[in-house]
Parts: sequence; structure tokens; C-alpha cells
Amino acid sequence: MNQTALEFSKPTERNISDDPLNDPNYKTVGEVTVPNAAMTTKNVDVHYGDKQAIFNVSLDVGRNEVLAMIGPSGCGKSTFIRCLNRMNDTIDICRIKGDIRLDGEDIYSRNMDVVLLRARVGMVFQKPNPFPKSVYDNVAYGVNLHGLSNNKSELDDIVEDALKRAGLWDEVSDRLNQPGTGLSGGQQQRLCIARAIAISPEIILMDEPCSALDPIATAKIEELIDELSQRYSICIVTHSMQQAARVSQRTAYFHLGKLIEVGATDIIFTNPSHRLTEGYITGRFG
Amino acid sequence: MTILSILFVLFIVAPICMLVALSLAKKNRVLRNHVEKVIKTFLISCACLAIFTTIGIVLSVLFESVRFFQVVPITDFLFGLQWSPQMAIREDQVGSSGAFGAVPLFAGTFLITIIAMLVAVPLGLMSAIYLSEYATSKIRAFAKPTLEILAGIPTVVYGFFAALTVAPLIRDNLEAFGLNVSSESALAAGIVMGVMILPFVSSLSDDVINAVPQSLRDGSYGLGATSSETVRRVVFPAALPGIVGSILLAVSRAIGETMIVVMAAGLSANLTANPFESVTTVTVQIVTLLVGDQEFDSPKTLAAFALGLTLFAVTLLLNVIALHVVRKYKEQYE
Amino acid sequence: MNQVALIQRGLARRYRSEKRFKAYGLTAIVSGVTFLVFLLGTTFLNGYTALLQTYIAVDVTILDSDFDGGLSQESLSKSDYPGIIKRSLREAFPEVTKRKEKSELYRLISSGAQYDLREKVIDNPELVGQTTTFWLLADDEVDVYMKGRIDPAVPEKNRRLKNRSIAWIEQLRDQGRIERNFNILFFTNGDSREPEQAGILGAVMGSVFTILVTMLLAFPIGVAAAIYLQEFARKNRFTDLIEVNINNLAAVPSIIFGLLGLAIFLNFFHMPRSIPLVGGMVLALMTLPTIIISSRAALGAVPPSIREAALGVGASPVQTVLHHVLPLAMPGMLTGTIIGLAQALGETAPLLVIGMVAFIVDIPGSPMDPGTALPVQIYLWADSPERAFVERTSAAIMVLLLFLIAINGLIVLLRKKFERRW
Repeated sequence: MNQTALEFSKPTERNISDDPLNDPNYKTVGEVTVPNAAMTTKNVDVHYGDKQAIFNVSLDVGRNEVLAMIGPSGCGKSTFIRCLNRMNDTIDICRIKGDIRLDGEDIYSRNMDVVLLRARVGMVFQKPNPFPKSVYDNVAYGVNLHGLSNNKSELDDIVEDALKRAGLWDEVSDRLNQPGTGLSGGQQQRLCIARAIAISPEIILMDEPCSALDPIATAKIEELIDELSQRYSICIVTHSMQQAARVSQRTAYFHLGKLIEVGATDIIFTNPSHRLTEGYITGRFG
Repeated sequence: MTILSILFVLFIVAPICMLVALSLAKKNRVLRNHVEKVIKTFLISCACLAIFTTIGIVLSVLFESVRFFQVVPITDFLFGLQWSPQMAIREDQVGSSGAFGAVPLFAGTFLITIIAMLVAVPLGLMSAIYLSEYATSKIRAFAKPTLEILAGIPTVVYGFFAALTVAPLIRDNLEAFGLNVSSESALAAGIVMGVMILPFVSSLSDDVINAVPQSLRDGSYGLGATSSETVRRVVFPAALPGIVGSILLAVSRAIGETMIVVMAAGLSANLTANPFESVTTVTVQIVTLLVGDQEFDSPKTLAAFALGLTLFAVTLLLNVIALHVVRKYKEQYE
Repeated sequence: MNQVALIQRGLARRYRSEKRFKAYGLTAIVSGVTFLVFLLGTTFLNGYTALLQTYIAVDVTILDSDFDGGLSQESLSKSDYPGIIKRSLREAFPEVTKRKEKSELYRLISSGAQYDLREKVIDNPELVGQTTTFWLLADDEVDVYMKGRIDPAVPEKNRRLKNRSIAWIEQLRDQGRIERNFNILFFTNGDSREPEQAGILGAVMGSVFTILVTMLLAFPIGVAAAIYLQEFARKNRFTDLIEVNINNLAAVPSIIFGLLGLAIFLNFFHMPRSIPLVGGMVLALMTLPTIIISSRAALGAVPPSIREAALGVGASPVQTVLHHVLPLAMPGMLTGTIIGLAQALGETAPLLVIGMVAFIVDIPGSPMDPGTALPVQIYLWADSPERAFVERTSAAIMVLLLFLIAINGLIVLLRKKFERRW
């Protein structure tokens, strides 16, 4: 079989660089933009001190979709997701270049208030991190900070609603005043999700939300993500390909700081275009 | 000279001999085991010295205190409101027994400790919070060692400074407001003691605050909290047990501090809550009672040991509680 | 109202409180630093003048008749030198005739000047029969006046230096007969009741002997205890007890250790009072916990792989520790020990209790000679009413702080040189 025959047989691969890691002008395979996106990112570079962690990534988050980011550890997916609500601001040596917009507003511009941004873009972390307060106070925390309720009964309603939507109400309604740290791992993580949705964000970022949980708790969270996607745009980083396949509509594959490929989840997992994606999906590395 | 040479042989020559013996006995396993046993015994006895020191402290203060309480009833000592330990020269003189009611001393100690803590806790805590949550690495690199210098200054220097500079400064400034301030006011001693304890509070709180996991801060920032909201509503409550433990340790230090109060607080045992007046403390009285030649069986000397016993018991209690609280707190986040 | 507008409404207030909170933190740090600068600044301003001492030039005529027994060594050393100085002063100020005035005149010169004069005459007997100009040590009041610390505007009855004396001093100054030289006596003398003769050498030597004893005791014991607890002790009730004990001892007020020393060393074992040996022993007990805790930390920082490697090639546990672990942990142990010794160097209270506050003029030559320590000397001088002791106290503080700075510099150096990351 000669070279031309191969190119003919797989026409989509023609523009794909064979060595994306050493190609500074590498262009992501697949469609990175979506119509009416909730959040758009263009040409994002991230440096930690002298080390570059993200190379020229562009990726949109669509409305009411679940976007999964997968890739081997150290590929920059967590770093990237933390750029979306400026959590990286808390790290002194981190510098971010590029254009990230929420509803068309540049989130790194002077006019963007980081408090407001984080209220609009919620985040759930790798390890469940409930505050050492009661279950109720955990959920009410953000609401009180931002002054979103006018009185106690309004606050009660918000807390109850958030806990219900996080599928936790039935389990904790009788112990709202007990410490949130006393719940099981899965409950804690759902409490953290309730805490995030209590302030009604537009987008929820989830950074490997199930990595510290057992399979049953994981299943519950995945179910929850599915439900939440009716109302919120969700961006989830995961190291589990099965999870990405189960919960997301679109999947982005990161490799050593570069966004290699992005596309509809079923296509990425059944017929990836890039050999690195394929290698990861088929378990050759990762 | 004999004591000196005994000590020298025991702690310098003996270890060296053991090391030499060990290297000589390299080939002979039986001999080596013997030498190693001797070495281990030496190590154990050194470790036990800590226990002997504690026993020694307890026994020495307890023994002399018991002798004191045979002369002065313990209730008079603990609840008496009059402190004037001057003993008459002749037995038959009127009032030869003196008065040994220690309440004014406890009150004075308490007053000065409160003033010191009012200075040290807010300043120390806020410094620790600023350094761990706000300061750039440049400010931290400058401010942390500077505060440590404050901790390394001998207390006698603080005492001199309090007596010579701070006390007149306070008196002159407050007299301008028509207040009557004693030249040896509790305020001056308390403030300077507070500054002395400040770095202690700040470094302990710094440890405690840094033990609060970053994930909690991230959780708070992720919900859109500002730094101060995160500190006040998440970090501080989470660190509270540890902070309380550090404050207890600081209190114990303030109670036991001697030189500042000896030099800057007075000798008059006033029972007052007025910080502008002169008060005396337990440690001041211990020093005054013991400096100068004293007979070991006079109640005046023995009273110092009774005060020492009280001081030891109170600080020990505070330390035990504080160390326990801090340890429990750190385990929680391990 | 929608969510964003609701949040924005509260933002200004929240940022104000953020700014305020940050300002509190900065204020706290600035006040700590300010206090330090203030403390060091006033100490320096009060103390640097102690480096200079005033001397007065007096034409001293030594007559043959001052010496009864000819110019023998004995007669030279026994003569009435204060008298000679007084006579010379009378000659310098012939207008002073009244008894009260005369005694005021004599007070311009320190009572210590006679010893200086005697030494010079004994060394050079040919001075007898001649008039020589000697620079004599001035009294502390004269010295304080020359340093501008006595305000002549203060009513005469409120100061010890009277108008007449000030006039004499000014007259001497006009004649160029008064000058300030480097105050070498401050560094070579022991304590004295007269500020102009008081020096810190006695206290420094006392401190040196005390710390030496402390080091010789605390370092081996502390290291041995740490080795046992960290490397050999099984985890049981007994070792737990020792550990709790050590942690608590570290927080026992230092004066309690003084009481321990008084009751055990002085009262029970009848050791002499006021000697650096006892002081060193008390301070050793006091610093032991610090040394043990930091030595254990240093041992704990040596990775287990080192021990496993040594045990793996057949070394006994004792050999493993002594030959392999200990050398690696030594820098850390030394640092901990030095920190403990720095603490001990600045410690005062326990030394007061065991009687190291006695007024001692002689410079101690061994740990068994009565002596005092530098911080105790500071305490003693701080208690003295003479104005001239203020500058000497401050100067002694500067010397003490210099010692501590040197020690801390040593610690930094040690850490830099031996810092090891596993």
C-alpha cells in the first residue's frame, strides 16, 4: 500500500500533524466552536513560572451541554478548567494569556469582577471539601456571602431547593444542623454540588468530582450530572473514559498541554481521528 | 571543683570512652554487645533526666510549700487579701508573722496578662493572617524574620525598655488627659509583655492557619468569596481550636514571665483593676522574696516556693490543655 | 431583580470590608516592626555614648614628702594618692578655699583615678619630685554633663551637678583640659558602684562560663536523650510519659527552674551561691527540652533508607545510629543546641533566684568563682539610680544583642552549609 492510497482511504486525517507535541502551530482536530456558546476560549496559554502548562487551546462550552475533558494525568485539563473561573489567580506564579469570554464578556478584563465571575461559574473540586460547618450553613454559605436571600424563610427555601436538586435532601433533611464533614464521601461531594448550585451559577465546573469516591457514590453523582445538565452548562474533567462516555455530549482530549481533538462523545470514543486520541481511548497509554 | 570534674567525666569523657570502646570491640561480638548495652543504658538515663527534672521541680516546690503551709494556713494564702511579707526582726515584735494573702498577686498577674493578651492576640493573629493569606513573598521574607527578632530579644531588654522608655511615655501622654498614672503602671508592663508575646502568638497561629487545607480555601473562593470572607468565615472557624490552644500557651507564658514585670511593674500589692496603678505579680514577689540572703526556714523564703507551686500548677494545667487541644486539632487535618 | 444585579449591589460594601481587613493585617505587622525599630533605636541612642569617657587633665605635683619610707616599692604603693590628686586640684583652682566648695571640687575626679595614678608612679618612680600632666578619669556626673545629658536650665536643686561645678567644667573645657576618649574601661573592668569605673568584662566572663557549663551538659544529654527516644524507644506508656514530660517542661516558666536550682543545688547539695557552675546547671536543665525536641526532629528527618541500608549490611542498631544516622543529623542537632544556648544566654530570672545577682567587682576566672551574667548585669545597672548607668545599661544591652546576632548568624551559616534535601 502506498502513501497516496492511505490518504485516500482516510481523507479526514490529511491535515493532522503527526507530531502535535513539537508543532507550535498545531491545530485541534474537530470543531472547537459551538453556536450560542455559554463560554468561549481562544488561544489560551498558561505558564507556571518558566514552565508552560497549556499551549494555545481554543474550546467553547455550549449551553446546557456536558463537556468532558479527558487525557492522561499532567495533560493540563485541570489547569485549563481552573482558568474558566480564574481559580488560578490564587497561585502566584501562574500567568494566563488568551481570550476567555463568558456570554461575550472577557473574564480577564479589568471590568470583570472575579467575585461575580465565580458566582456565575461554580466549581466542584476533586476532593469533597465541605466547610467545617453544619450541612445547612454549607449550602447557605454562598447565598449569605452574596446577599441573595432577604430573610430566613427565603434562605430555608433556597437551601432546601439546592439540596433537593443535588439529590441529598432525603438523606440529610433530618440533620441539617450536624456538621457537613460527618457525611459520607459521596454525600459530601453532593453537598458541595448543592453548595455550588444554591447560588444558581450559569456554568458548573467539575474537576474530577468522583476520583475520591466509591463506584456507588460515583453512579449517584453521574446521575445527578445528567439531571443538572437540563439547567446548567457543565464542564467536567475526568480521568475515567467510561465516565466521560456516560455523562457527556462532547468530549475534548488533552495531551501534554495541547488540545488534540474535540468532538461529539460517541464519535470520539468510537472513531477518533487522531492517533494520540485513539491510543488513549484504546488504552495504549494514559 | 569536684562537682565540675564529676560532671565533666560523666557527660563528656564517658560518652567518648563508650564510642572508643565500641570501635575497639568491632571484631568481638560478645564484647560489642556489652558495650552497646552500656551505651543504651547511658541513652536511657539521659532521657529519664527529663522525668527527674519534673520530679525535682515538683518535690522541691512542694516540700518547701508544705513547710510554708505549716506556718501560714493554705486558705489564708489562697484567699487572703493582704500581702505584706515583711517579717519583724525580733520574734516578740507586734505583727511579726507578716501577711501572706496572695489574692492581690493573682489579681495583678491576671491584670497584666489580660493587657498583654489584648496587645498580643489581635496583633499576632492579624500578622499571621496577613502573612499567610495576603503578603507577597517579598513582604513575607522581610516581615517574618523581623518578628522572629522580636522573639529573640532577651526579656531583660524588654524590661529595661518598659521601665525606661514606655512607662514614662505612657505616663506623660495620659497625664495630658488629666489621668493619674503611676510610674510603674500595669499598663506599661502589660503592653511591653504583649509585644514580647506577639511573635509567639503569630508563629503558633501561622502554623495552625497553614494546617487548614487549601481545599477549604478553594471551596470558598470557588463560590465567589473575597479573601477576607474566606479568612473570617472558613479559615478562622476551622483553625479556631488550634488558635485557642496557641493563645493558652501564650497566656501561660505571660503568667510565667518574670523580668518585664520585675523591672516595670511595682512591688506594692494593690488589689485593683485599674491599669494605671501599680500592681505586683507572682513572679515579681518570688524574685523579691528570694533576692538577698535569706534563711531557708523563714516564712518569707518559703512563701516564694508556695508562689512557685501555684505558678507551676497553673502554667502546667494551661500547657497540658493547650498541647492537647493543638494536637487534636492537627490530627483532624492529617 | 436578577442574580447578577443582586450580587453587584453588595460588591462595593464587600470590597470595602476586604480593604479594611487587609489594612488591619498590615497595621499589625507594621506595629510589630515599628516597635522593634523603636526598641533598638532608643537602645542605640541611649547607649552609644557609653563608648566614650571623659578625662580631665590635671597637673599633678608629686613631692618627695608624699613618701615616708623613701622610694621603696612598698612606700610607693602605700602613699596617699587621693590626697595628691586633691592637692593638685587645689593648686589648679586656687580661688577655691571654702571647705564645702573644696569637696565639691574633688568630686570632679573619679575615685578610681587614684589607682591609675598609683600604677603610673610605681612604674615610673622618677615622676616623684616632678609636676606632670595626667589625664585623670572624670566623675560620672562630669561625663554625663559633657555628653549633653544634663540640662543647665533645670533648677539647681533638682540636679546633682551644681552650677559651680558646671563653671569649673566650662573653665577646664576652655583650657583644653577636658576631653573624651574611647571608653576602654567599659570593656576591661568588672562591676563598680561608680558608673565611670563600671565595665562589663566580669559579666561577660560570667556569661561565658555559665554558657560553657550549659553547653557541656545540655548538648550530650540532649542528644543522647533524643537518640534514645527517636531511635530505640519502643512506643509504650513509659516513653509516652517521657515525651509528654519533655513537651511540658519546654513550657515551664524559667523562674521555676531557678526555684529548682535553689532548692536542690544550693539548699540540698550546699553548692556555693552566685557561681556560674550552678547557673549553668540550671540553664542546662532549662534548655534540655528545646535541644531534645529539635534533635529529635533532626533525627526524624534522616530517611529510613539510610538505616535500612546500614542494617542490611550487618551493622548493629547502635552502630547504625552512631555511624550513619547521627553524622547526618548532627547539623540539625547543632542548630537546635545553639538556639537553646541563645535562649540561655538571654535568660535572667533563674539566675536571680540562685543568687547570681551579687555585686561582684572581680572578674571570674573559672566557673567556680562568684560571678554574674550579662543579662543580670543589665538588670542590676537598670536598677541603679545614677544617670550614667542608663547609657551603660543600654551599651550592655547592645553587647548582649551583638552576641545574639553573632549566634544567629552562626545558625544561618550552619543551615546554609549543611542544608540537605532528601
